[in-house]
Amino acid sequence: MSEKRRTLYRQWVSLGAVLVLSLCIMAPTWSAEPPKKAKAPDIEPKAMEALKQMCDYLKNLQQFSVQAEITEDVLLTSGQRIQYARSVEASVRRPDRFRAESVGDTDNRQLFYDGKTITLMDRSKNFYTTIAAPPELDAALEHGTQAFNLRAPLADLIYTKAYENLTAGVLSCFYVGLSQVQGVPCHHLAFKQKDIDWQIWIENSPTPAPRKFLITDKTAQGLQFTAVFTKWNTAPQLEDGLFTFVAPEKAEKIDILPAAAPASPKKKQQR
Amino acid sequence: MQITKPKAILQQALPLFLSLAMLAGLLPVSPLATMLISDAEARVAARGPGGGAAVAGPRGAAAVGPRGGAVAATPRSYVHTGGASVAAGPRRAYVEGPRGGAAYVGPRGAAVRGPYGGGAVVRTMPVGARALAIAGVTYYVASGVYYRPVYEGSDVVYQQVENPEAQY
Repeated sequence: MSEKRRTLYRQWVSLGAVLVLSLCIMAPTWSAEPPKKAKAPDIEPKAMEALKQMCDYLKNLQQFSVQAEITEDVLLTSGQRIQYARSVEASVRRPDRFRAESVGDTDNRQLFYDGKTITLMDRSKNFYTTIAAPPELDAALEHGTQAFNLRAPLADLIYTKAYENLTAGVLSCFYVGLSQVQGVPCHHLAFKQKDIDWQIWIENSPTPAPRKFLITDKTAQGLQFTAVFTKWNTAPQLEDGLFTFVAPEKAEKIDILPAAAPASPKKKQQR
Repeated sequence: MQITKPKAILQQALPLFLSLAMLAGLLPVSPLATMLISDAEARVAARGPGGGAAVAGPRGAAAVGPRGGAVAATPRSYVHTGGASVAAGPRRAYVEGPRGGAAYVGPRGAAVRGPYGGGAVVRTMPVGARALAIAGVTYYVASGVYYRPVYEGSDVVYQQVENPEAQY
């Protein structure tokens, strides 16, 4: 009898041990589950808020001029990484005027948008091209990038729906801290997307303008694009003539190739 | 190069095998018609009148002379690397980029096509190119190949065209 009780006792003990063990094993998964769900977007509201404030501020500026120093990495065929620099000056007059000028190591070019057309001018080669564009800046920029693969300097920040565009593919973001950019105290924010990581430094003041913008391309060996905004003018005198292209003497008008059209049926299938 | 997984062997070896088979004449390939560079993989491409050609992209370069000699170079090795397949035989060479772009050079000519169905697009003019004004339009000619300046995105590039002088 006592023998039987002992075996029963042993069975209970072993069963209890198994239960406790399984609890120990499962407990971490239970406790881990709820934070995992909360972790999925991993968006720090403070970062999104600062970004939204900047976008709202820029959207409500009816006209502004900004100067930026841009550096951009390129990869040589040898695999070596080289950094090129350029200075950009952009002027915006909402809703239908934009002008950008870029002078740097590899380019000397201008972009004019006068509410009817977009003109690109290459001043070192003396060629230009003109395309018809919708009568509103957002639509015009979108048309240029989609139909002709144009790259308008700093367009990401100029769109009135910049906030929606910037946050569309964001997987996670956080507020890094306060940081100085050229002596200006800024909120430093970091965002993560599938193919790129980007960081932005936004002035910590009632005029929350961007002061620095950095993109890291994770698909291309971490190549970086950096824009440091050196000068903001939010009350410029922008005459109509500034946005109107007048062809310089001897400049030649050339064609522009459409963006990769539905050329081959094979490519269509891939999309 | 160490390859351990069978899938990796297949991935690396299959394009090479196919292109070698093509070079050996086992696969029917018409020299000038089938090869397309469907994206901007080829940053620089040029072809000469005698059949020599060169193509260079961000991950490497390949060149063939008019007599069929060929060389292919990539950042890490010769002949083949990364996602790009390069095969060079005594008479033909074939380069395939990681996104399906390709260039072919053979005894009868070369094919390097831009993404627009037109001629190949090059970002810089070959050394020794000279400018011509034909009917008020600027063209460039280098080694008998004609180019017209054209915008691709925000950049001025040069697209191969038929001899424009022949039209006047």
